[in-house]
Amino acid sequence: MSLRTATDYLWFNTRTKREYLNITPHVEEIVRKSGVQEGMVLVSAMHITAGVYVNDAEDGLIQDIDEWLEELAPFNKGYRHHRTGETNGDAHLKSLLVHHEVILPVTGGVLDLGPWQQVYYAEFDGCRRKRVVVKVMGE
Amino acid sequence: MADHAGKGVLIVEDEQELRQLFAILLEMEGFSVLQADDGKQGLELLEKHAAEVGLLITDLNLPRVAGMDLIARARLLNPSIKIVGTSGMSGKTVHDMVIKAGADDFIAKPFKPSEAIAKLKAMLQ
Repeated sequence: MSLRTATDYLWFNTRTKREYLNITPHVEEIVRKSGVQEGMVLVSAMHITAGVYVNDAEDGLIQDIDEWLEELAPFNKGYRHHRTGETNGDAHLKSLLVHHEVILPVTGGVLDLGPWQQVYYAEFDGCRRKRVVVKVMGE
Repeated sequence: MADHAGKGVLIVEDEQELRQLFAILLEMEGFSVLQADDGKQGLELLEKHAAEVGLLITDLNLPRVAGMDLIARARLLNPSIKIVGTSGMSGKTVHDMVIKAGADDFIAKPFKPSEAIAKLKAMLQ
């Protein structure tokens, strides 16, 4: 078998500044369409104020994550970044905390995730068009 | 909705302002509108008013029952119903998944209400 790759993009325009969206079914569909049986998929936010992470799809936990991030990097603190005229210093720091990308295994043509693992897009400076690149690589 | 057989519209959207704006604009066009703010309530209304609802507009990211599941269920309940999915998430894969689930069309947010209403009217005529 030869190496094959497939690239797709997921676009987001969230209604609020901070949102957490479960994108697992969409990543699964991109993997399925790629035809890759054995390999990996990169899911990467193409922005510096958003992130991608893997964790549980449980509403309480998502609220906990949001409160934890807000505690560590509160909105509208006197960030030096705001001297540029920007107001999203917290979003940059939150993005660093959850990281901007994940690499997931593809086995037998499907995402090889643990029983509770789900892929999330974390938006920290929303209400505008942003995107995630999904790149599948393998045989 | 008895006088509007097949011309009723069900809007399932948890964003209240958008749902109400849609409802007002469609009612001004003479349509009979039902509203639900989550997927479960949407499904219940759809089952109760299956004969009257000719068009379902649903967000994808909904509490309780996901929009994609609601679309699939609506298509099973009424093969001739028109279904439009909407979402702040978009892209070819999202569009294709919505159509595959059973929708007739997909509208990415944000959209111009006037353009969306024109598209919905055309679908119902």
